[in-house]
Amino acid sequence: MSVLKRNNVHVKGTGTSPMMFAHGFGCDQNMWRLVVPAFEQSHQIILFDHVGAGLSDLTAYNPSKYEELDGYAMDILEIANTLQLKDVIFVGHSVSAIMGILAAAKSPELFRALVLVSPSPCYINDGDYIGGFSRIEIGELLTSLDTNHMGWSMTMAPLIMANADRAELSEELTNSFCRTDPTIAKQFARATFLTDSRSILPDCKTPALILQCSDDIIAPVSVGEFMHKEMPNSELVILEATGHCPHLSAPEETITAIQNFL
Amino acid sequence: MMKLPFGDSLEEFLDHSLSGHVFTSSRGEIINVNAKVVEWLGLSREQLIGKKITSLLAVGSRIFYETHLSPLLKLKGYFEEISAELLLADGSKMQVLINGYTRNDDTGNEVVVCLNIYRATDRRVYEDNLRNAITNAENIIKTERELAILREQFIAVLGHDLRNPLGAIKTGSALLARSLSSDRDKSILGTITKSTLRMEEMITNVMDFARVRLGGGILLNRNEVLVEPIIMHIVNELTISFPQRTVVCAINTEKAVSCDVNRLSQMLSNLLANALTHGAADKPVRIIANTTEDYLEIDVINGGRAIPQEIIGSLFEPFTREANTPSQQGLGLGLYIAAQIASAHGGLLEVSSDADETCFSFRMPLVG
Repeated sequence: MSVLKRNNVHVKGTGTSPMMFAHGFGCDQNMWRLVVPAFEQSHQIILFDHVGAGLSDLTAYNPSKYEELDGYAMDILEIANTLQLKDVIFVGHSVSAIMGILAAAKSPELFRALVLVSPSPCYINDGDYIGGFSRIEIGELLTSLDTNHMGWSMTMAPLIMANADRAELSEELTNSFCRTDPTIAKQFARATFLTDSRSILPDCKTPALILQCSDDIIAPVSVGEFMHKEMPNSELVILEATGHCPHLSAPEETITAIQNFL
Repeated sequence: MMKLPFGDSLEEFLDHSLSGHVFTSSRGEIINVNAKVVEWLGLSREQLIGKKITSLLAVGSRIFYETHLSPLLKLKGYFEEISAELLLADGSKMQVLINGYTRNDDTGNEVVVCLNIYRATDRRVYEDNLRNAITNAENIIKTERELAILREQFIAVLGHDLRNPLGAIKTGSALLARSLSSDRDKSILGTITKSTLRMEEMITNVMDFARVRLGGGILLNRNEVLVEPIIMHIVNELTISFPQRTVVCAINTEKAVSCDVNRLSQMLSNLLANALTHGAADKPVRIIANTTEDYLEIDVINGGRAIPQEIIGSLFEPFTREANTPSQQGLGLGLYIAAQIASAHGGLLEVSSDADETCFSFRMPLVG
């Protein structure tokens, strides 16, 4: 299985400077569709789905590899190496921002800059650190994922396996966004929301832009401030946008902030 | 058109509804709610307007809303059948299903989010029970599988350990055979030797069974050989034990076959011994063997009564034997192992039986 097929990688754009977009928990590469056009002329755009999300190859999902964010960071490096990318501008949303930091810590030479959209190194409150949630609340999230199929009804999975090559079917799938296999979604949620990556922040020397929304219950402003303090080469921009997905709710403001940084 | 008894306005209609309706701005601030939502939550309409929609949701649903549903509204414009929990004023939770969609308002650009909320408390109990049943079933299967493996490991160990004392009996009998002179003693020793061989065969079968069941399968040591000498050796060996019976062979196998000689002999010996034991004593047992373009085919045929219908379907299953016969026949593993040997060779063992004769047909590709 090729890396590009495994992660449903799409490359487009007319520029040469590579810009890689990584989606967060609960969605897929479609969530970048309002932001990507602004960079297509000036950059080479790389879009992909994490294994288990969107149209990635579900058979490649290995629970022990993806138990922690390192497994996902390895995939990011594999995609960059397969495409022979250099000086990558990595744009990661939410948990993928942390995967980008992990990847840049492993192979700093590959990355020119990190754009961290609504990032959080740790969602769980710990002493003075306010992540936004208690451990019990994260447990409630994991339980509530049990009750939702995230657009992936049980009868659909075998259909997709059996008809992977049928164009009309994959087109239909492209039209349904943020589809995630429910078992994998739960494990991804576990990897995402139980992570504590605070200790790696000072090691990241790559220039980084931290974009935080002004009212985000998933990643509050205080988390952005914490990251900015811990990361030696970082800039913090608090957006007027609210919610957890400024690239969807306020694409222009998000684009401008990224352009100013670059 | 018939006048409906809801008053004149849409608000009145919505206030009669059994489902909840919430309208929010694109930023998620509540613009309006219907009477049902007020009743469920235990907060007044005035208290609710201006609040964030996520503040009405229990924490799990809140995170799910921000990470999955909110993006879906932006990308697709709607979501359906989402299971969520409302957070009520008294701190308790209420299970609901939510459909949500976005609409442009009168000015054409500012988007309004409409949420239709349905009580799903009974439904959720039902679903929880189903989920628990699945978990229970999975746990039971897991425990049973572990037990099955344990049992088969026990069989393998037992079979292996029985070999040593049996070996001592065999060696002892062989030594005694040299010094015995009385006919009575020789006859007793003959019985001991026969029983020892039968026991040895049973142990071999039990160990083969355990090997197949524990996932190793039957391993082959293949060689390119001619089959005729193998068949004749088995025939000669068994006719010593059945001196009064006739075995008629029609062998036409000039092509070499890639097979495990010991395993093929084991299978043929089992089939022929069965035919001699169960077949009519006054009719010969026939062996017909051919090599065709691609296959080796061997039929072992005996006369006599048909194999009962209720047994024939499970003949190649382990521990199958005719229910009312004594344990003289052994463990009922012979045909199971014979079929496993056939399938290890990429071949097949089949049976057909009628009132005149019973035929076991083995067929395997010449090249492994």
